Amino acid sequence: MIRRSAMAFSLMLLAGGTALAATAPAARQSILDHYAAEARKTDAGFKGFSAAAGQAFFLAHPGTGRPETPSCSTCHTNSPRNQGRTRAGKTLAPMAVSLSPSRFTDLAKVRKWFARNCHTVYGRVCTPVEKGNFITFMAHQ
Amino acid sequence: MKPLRLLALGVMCAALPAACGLAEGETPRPVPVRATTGGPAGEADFARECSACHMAYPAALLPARSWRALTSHLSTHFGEDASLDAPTTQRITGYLVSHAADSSDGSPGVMRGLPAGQTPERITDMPFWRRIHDDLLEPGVGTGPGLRSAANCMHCHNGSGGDD
Repeated sequence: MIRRSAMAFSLMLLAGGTALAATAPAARQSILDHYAAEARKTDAGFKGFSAAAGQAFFLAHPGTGRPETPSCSTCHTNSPRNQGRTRAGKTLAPMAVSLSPSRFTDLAKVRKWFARNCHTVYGRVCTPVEKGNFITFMAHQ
Repeated sequence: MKPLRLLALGVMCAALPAACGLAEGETPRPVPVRATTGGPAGEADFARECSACHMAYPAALLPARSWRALTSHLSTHFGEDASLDAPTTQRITGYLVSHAADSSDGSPGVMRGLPAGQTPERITDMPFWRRIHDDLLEPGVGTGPGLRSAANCMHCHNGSGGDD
C-alpha cells in the first residue's frame, strides 16, 4: 500500500515536471506570437524574428538612455549565460533560457521589464520587433 | 508601542572584513527587519517587486513622508525606472507608510536626529544610519566589486542569524 502510494506520488511528480517543461516554451511562444502580431500591424511584410539582431540589440551601447545604465550589460554582463548583478548589488539569474527556463513566460512581467529597461538603456520604448528579436536570442542561449 | 521585531542578521564579512569596515571577527549589528510573514495588505507586493533589484529594505528605516516621496516617482528611482502600475504602487505605499519609522512599528532611535523638515529618500541619508556606518562614508568605499554600493546591506549583514 505504502509502496503503491509512493509510486503514485512519483508518477504525479513526473507528470508535474513534464507539464511544467512543456508549458514554459508554449508560454514563451505565445509571447512571441503576441509581438509578431504587433509587428505585422506596422509592417505587413514582417518575416519573423532574428536571434542575431536580438544579440546586437542586447550588446549595443546606444548612448540614448540614462548614464547609469549605458547598456543591458551594465546589469546582465556581456553574456546572457552569466549571472547578472543590479546596481544595488543583487544577483540576477542568467537571461539565457537554457539556464533560466522561466524567463519570458509571463507577458505582464515581460512588458514591465521591457518598459523599464528600454527606457533606462535606450531612452525610448522598444519596438515589437526589437522585443521579439531579444526574446528569440535569449531562447537560443 | 509594539516592540520592534529584530531579525538578527549578524553574520559577518568573514572574507572581506575591511570592505565592511570591520575588524577581524567583528560582527555587524543586526538590521531591524519586520517579519515578512502574515501578510498585511501590500506586504507581498512590496516583497516581490522591491526585492527584484535590491533587498526589501525594512519599512521601519524611513519615515512615512520619505516612503510617500519615493513611491511618488518610481520611474526615476535612483537612476532606474522602477515604475509599477498604480494599484500596486498604492498597495506598496500603504504597507510602507503603515510600518514606517514614525509609525507604531517604528523605533525612536531611527528617527533621532532627523529634522522635521527633511525627507530623505535614501536610508543612507538618515542620521541614524550615518551614526553607525561612519566607516562606509569614507571616500572610495562602495565602489569596489564586492560591496558595490552602500545600498547593498546584505554584503555585510548577510544574515544567517535567526528570527528575532
